[in-house]
Amino acid sequence: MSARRRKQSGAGSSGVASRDRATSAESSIAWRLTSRARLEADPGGANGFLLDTYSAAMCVCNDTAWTLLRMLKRGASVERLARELVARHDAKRGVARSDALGFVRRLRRMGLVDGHR
Amino acid sequence: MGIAKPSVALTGFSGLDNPEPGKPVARAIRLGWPGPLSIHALNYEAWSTGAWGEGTVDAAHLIPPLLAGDEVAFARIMEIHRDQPLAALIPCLDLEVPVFSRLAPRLRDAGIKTLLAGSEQIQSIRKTALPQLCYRHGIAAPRTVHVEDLGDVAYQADQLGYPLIVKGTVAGARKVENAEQAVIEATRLHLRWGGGVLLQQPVAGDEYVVAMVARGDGSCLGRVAVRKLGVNHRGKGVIGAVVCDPDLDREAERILAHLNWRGPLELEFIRAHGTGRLNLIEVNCRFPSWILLSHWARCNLPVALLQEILKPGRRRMRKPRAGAAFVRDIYETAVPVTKLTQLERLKQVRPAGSRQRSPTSAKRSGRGVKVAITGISAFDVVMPGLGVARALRGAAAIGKVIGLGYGPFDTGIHRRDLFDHVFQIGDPADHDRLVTTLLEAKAAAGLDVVVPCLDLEIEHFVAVAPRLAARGIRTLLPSREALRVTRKTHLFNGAMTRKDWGAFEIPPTVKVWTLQGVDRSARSLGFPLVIKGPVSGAVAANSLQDARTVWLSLKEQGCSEGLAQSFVRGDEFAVAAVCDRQHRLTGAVAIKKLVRCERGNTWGAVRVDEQDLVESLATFLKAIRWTGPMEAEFIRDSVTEKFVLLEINGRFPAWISYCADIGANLPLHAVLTALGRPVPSETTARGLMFMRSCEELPVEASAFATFATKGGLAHGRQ
Repeated sequence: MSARRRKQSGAGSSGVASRDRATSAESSIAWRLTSRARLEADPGGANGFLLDTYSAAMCVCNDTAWTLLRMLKRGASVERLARELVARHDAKRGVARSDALGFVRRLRRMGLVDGHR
Repeated sequence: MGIAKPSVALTGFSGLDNPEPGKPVARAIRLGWPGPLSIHALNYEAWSTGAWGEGTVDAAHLIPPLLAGDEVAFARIMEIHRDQPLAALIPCLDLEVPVFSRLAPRLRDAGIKTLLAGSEQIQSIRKTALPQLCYRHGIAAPRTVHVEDLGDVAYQADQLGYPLIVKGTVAGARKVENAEQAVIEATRLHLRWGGGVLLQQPVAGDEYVVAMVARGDGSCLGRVAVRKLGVNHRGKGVIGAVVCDPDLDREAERILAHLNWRGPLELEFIRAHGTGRLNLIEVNCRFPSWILLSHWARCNLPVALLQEILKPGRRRMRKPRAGAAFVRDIYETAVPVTKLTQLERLKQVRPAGSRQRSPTSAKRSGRGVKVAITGISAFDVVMPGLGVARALRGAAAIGKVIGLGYGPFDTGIHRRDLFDHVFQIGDPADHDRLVTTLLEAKAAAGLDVVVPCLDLEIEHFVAVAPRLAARGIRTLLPSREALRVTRKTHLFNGAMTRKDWGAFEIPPTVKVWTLQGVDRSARSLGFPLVIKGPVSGAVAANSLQDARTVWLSLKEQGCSEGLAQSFVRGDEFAVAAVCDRQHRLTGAVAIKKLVRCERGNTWGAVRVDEQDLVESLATFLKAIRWTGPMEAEFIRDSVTEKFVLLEINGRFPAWISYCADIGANLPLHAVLTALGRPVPSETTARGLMFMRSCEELPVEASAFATFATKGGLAHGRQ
């Protein structure tokens, strides 16, 4: 990537550093589902359904998402979520961490998780 | 000490496909009231179909129209009260609330309690007063202009820009895209409600509605907020789920605090995309039609209101359960003609006893015929599959009824009383996928016969019928040629119209492709003139300008061809029938249509003995070599008394459950004939009328998502 394109895309050295710091901070704290998020298990209990009680938005979860959401209900860090993904899917650690972080960020944008130090 | 068995009078049982709130209020009170209770429906007409459901109300009374004045209304209420003492009265319609508010002191003196706002408060929330209300109290709202003179509509609409919402001063709203449409809608709404119209800038966002009950001191007794998940062609929320959003709750309570309100209230908001700002778009002085959802959300507002009316000072209700959802479907029943006549002549009747539960699969051995049905939604229009399912549900020969829905908002997929399983099907034009879906349904739930119930599906099911038959799934369908003959463009051509069909005739028709063609047809046929689309839609035009507008509207909808016919004045009839593979009728039922909704669909009817018509239709069907279910629609010319054929539909009509109610189970005929089994002889009942009303069903929000992602739901036994 050329220097100009890096600058345009905000991916300059200072941008990378601040994003790394943000990622590190996001990874180290415990995330917990907010009160507006409700989990409802399927009859079998292996997977279920996430309801945003503020908007009635709904997400049907596969068993992996369901496991992560149940961990977030009790409170879990990105690292813990990533470990679960590695254990479940034999994923590479870096990929699992990135996926777990993406999952948490998405929930955060929806107002469904809060971070706790 | 409370009243041992209070009697409450409710209004608002009409509305057909745009239901008034009386029935849901009655059902909420019925379901939630702790103890014995008597519910009285006050109707302006006998055909208020919402009051006729089994177990909904204990008595129905006719009351005079509001136009007759306060004194006449009061006298009639007192007449009812003397006969059957009423403890409380809850008006459920916007226009009634000011009347009963004025009468409240006199009703109270007579022993009938109400909880209604004063005239000043009611005036302050009128639709025409919304801009002032919002300005005065700093409430965000879309720009709204009240236009009293219809001559100003085009100018004001242009000033606001398009698209634009045109609203009636009492009810009704439609989005328009230009000044011409604005004027047409404004004229329609003004003629209906008077007082001009409101022009409102639309806000892109999600719709939320808050229903509330205010105590006598204006404080909030209870509140339920709902997000509209499914909005139909009228802009009405027919699917919704309870939400608990603190911002919405705060705003609703803030507005209530300004209103000094008493009794039920509905606030409608749009939460703007992007900003998330809540815009108040409407305030109504009554419960909304989805209010039964408050019972399923464990915050039954109609019960709370009645309790507050009878014994004021109740504690604030708990929060509703977020995620509780509703779907608006239909309820159909057969009512004795004598009951309707009694209501019309004696002004009161006891409609029916407690609700009969539909027979369920639990009662059956499970070894009966397994039938799949398409067209199972009442979201926009009532589809025939719901009636077919209801008819088959009551038949002993049927083991399982399987619904085939197109999406999670097909209301019928949530009917546990009708369907054991529901599966999602895709575009029927994708024949491989259609076959695969049906084979998967067969593997999962068993499937012997499939009954397609939508016009646009029939040709595709005809195409895949041999492949289905090879895998053990039977159908009873017409040939492609027979289907082609019944299309409007063929049915109304010269050859068909010149033949003598006995008791009915096929009207002279002029095909039109251009505006000039419309002009020519008008010159040859005169007015009123009916312009029809090649597949659906028929609009009467009284002038050349009207006819041209109708044609242009059809062209906008993508029609390259239309049909022009002379308008025939008279009563409308229909015949539902099934033909076997030798093109002979296995059975037929003729009805006279008595109540139709705005879209022209039948919501009330009665069976008629028109043997000549049925025999002539049988000859016609034999001539075109028809096989399977069908419906023929007629008008009986009020001058010549001759039946004029309007349309042939290659599937059952939506009122088909009535046939089973009177003992001619035509859907069962179709299933048995498809399997090559004999149709049992039947004895049909007389003196029953078909009656349909809307009805809300409880749904868990998860059901929508589960259907969408997993492609089905299992309601009954596996």
